[in-house]
Amino acid sequence: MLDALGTAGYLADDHTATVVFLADKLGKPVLVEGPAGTGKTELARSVSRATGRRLIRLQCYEGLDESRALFEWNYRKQLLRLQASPGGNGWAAMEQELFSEEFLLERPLLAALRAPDPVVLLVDEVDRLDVETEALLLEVLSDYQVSIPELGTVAGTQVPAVFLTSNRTRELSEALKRRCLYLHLDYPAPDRERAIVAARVPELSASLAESAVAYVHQLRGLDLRKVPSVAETLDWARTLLLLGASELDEAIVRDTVDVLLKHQADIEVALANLVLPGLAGPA
Amino acid sequence: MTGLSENGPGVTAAIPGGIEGTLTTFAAELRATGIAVQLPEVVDAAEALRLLPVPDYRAVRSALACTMVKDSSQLPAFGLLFDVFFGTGDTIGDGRPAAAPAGGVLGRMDDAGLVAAAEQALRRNDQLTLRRLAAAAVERFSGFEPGRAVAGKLYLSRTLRALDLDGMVERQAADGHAPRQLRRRAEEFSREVEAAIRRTLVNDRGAVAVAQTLRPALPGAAEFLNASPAELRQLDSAIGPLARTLSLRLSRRRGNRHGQVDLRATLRKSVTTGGAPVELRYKRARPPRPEVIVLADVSGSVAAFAQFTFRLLAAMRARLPKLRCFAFLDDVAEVTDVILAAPSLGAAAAQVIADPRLVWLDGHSDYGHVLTRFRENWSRTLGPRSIVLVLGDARTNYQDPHPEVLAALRRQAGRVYWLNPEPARYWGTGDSAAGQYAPHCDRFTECRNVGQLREFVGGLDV
Repeated sequence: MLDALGTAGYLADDHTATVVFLADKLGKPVLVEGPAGTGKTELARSVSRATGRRLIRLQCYEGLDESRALFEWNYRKQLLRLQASPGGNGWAAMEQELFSEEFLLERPLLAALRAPDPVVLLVDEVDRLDVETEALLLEVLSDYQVSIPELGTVAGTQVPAVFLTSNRTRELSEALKRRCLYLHLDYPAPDRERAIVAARVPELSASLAESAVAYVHQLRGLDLRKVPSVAETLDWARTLLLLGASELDEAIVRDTVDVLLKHQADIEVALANLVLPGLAGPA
Repeated sequence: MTGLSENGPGVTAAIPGGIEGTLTTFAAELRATGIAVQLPEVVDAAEALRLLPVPDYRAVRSALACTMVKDSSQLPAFGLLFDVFFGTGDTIGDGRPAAAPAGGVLGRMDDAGLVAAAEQALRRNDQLTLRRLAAAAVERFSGFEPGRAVAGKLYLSRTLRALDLDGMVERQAADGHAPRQLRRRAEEFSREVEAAIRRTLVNDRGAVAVAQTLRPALPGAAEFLNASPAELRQLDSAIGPLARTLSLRLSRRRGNRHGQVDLRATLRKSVTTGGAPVELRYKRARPPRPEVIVLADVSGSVAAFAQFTFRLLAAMRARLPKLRCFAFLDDVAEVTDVILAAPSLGAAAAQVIADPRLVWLDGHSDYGHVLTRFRENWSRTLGPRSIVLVLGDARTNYQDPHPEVLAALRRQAGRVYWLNPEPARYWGTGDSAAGQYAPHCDRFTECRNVGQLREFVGGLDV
């Protein structure tokens, strides 16, 4: 699993790989939590790439309801159908016809259930769901089937690999948590972050990547409002590459630190504490 | 590596019932700590173990963590208990080989030699040697007494005192080594020592008994009043979401979810359905903007609580644009701008606590005077939509508490809540005016830890 994710450009640690492996074997969803920008969403994408499964994504937001998450009847098309054949062939036949596949709008959850090929279902920012929709999600995830009054029960043809991501803006229900395997993604250790930079920005020289990552880790140790995420490390690495920097010096950090830090106050703290890792003795 | 199947010297052999028995005992111990592991999760854990191709230390740990622990703040406590239950034998910590029993060279060294060797290994960051040294140091310095039901804190302090890690770091920093790195390594080393002590304890009395004496505290239960800075930082992850919920609850609209029917929009929408107004459109309801006013005691007696207060304020600030913060000792001043402008939480706290405007006579908290002054200067800003949140221990240093002023403030404001970091059993003793203030608050709640804050937030039916 580790190697498979690696070839998909995602450098997982052993723990992540084990959890993904177990989720696949147990047929259970994975609930991924952690600070923003540590690769929660990317994990699902990489699993999709690594296993060659199609990715179906449901982006959650406050107010997301059944008709956006599961399915909806194509109301306009139904109306058009009615108007096209006024007086038609009796109510029963018409009802049959109106509530058939043709007028069904699949939304991500139903699409994932009914997909003929194996898929990866990514439910992003599940903590932003309302309680009602969370209950619906739980129903889908516990049986991998769902009842549509007019069509009957739709059971999944296969068990999709499900990833739920959460930023912990609120506690999820116990039932949902019990249903899932839990994975906490934190900021990676320097070694691993270095490897991530090397994999994603291979053109950057190893020594520069090393000092860049060391500097980012130093920033994470400071008392900042928002510490830089892995995504921002990568952005910074690309910036350094574009600027053609050969090594990290004070001037270049001053010019580019706004790629890493997004609060003026943070930037001031960072510049006030500017000690470059290269100058601070042997690593 | 220790597989669960080949128990070796591990604990699994000591508990009847094989893997299932061990898991059940382990789950019971997790529950006793406060991690609510449910039966289906134990079943999942057993199933997961069965599926592991190579059940080595790290894989087993991953499998149990992802099935039994669903909250990242509980992971450290889980890790500790896991080490106690499954970490003995020939692997520990992160699965690297454990130290050989301290015979050989280490056993023959004298005390000073051992300390010097540790210092050298620390400088070279030689982790394997450090691990061996940790075991040797515990054997040498901890004064271990078999059979005693202790958590090993005394052993730890004895060993660390003998090693004098701070001294090592200072000496080497003076030699021009980077102090930050050294300190981190020293911290790691002291964790190794802790692990070595735990191993010794487990070998002596068995995993279950040791786990019961250890009972690691979850961050949610750590008391604000005596939490260490490290514990407070851990609280951040719990406080963030709570502050958001609190802000949301405080600003939740009453009554209808939406505003009036928007006739124009409804008619336009009805065009798509042949003129029948199938879907009603509503005007967007104007969300009420409550003014939240926080009065925070920042005196020394609640210093740790004040740290928590600042974290809570900063997190609430992001959601409540009309939040106003006041800090007080024996005088009160608005500190909203100070908190907003400060580069970091720590700086904000330092600046507020040093603010001369907070001192009237001697800088010992005087609630009566503070309330009076607040009423004189700021009560004009209070309206039926204002919510006053007082954070403090209600200890007046034997000054007149003036509860009638609080009553007057409450008549003007919408609601008054009081969070008290002191245990309820001390309320009303000594100079505590909790009993006099409580009747004039909509809620007067004990708030000693994140768990109680969560209860308070959950109980707000606004």
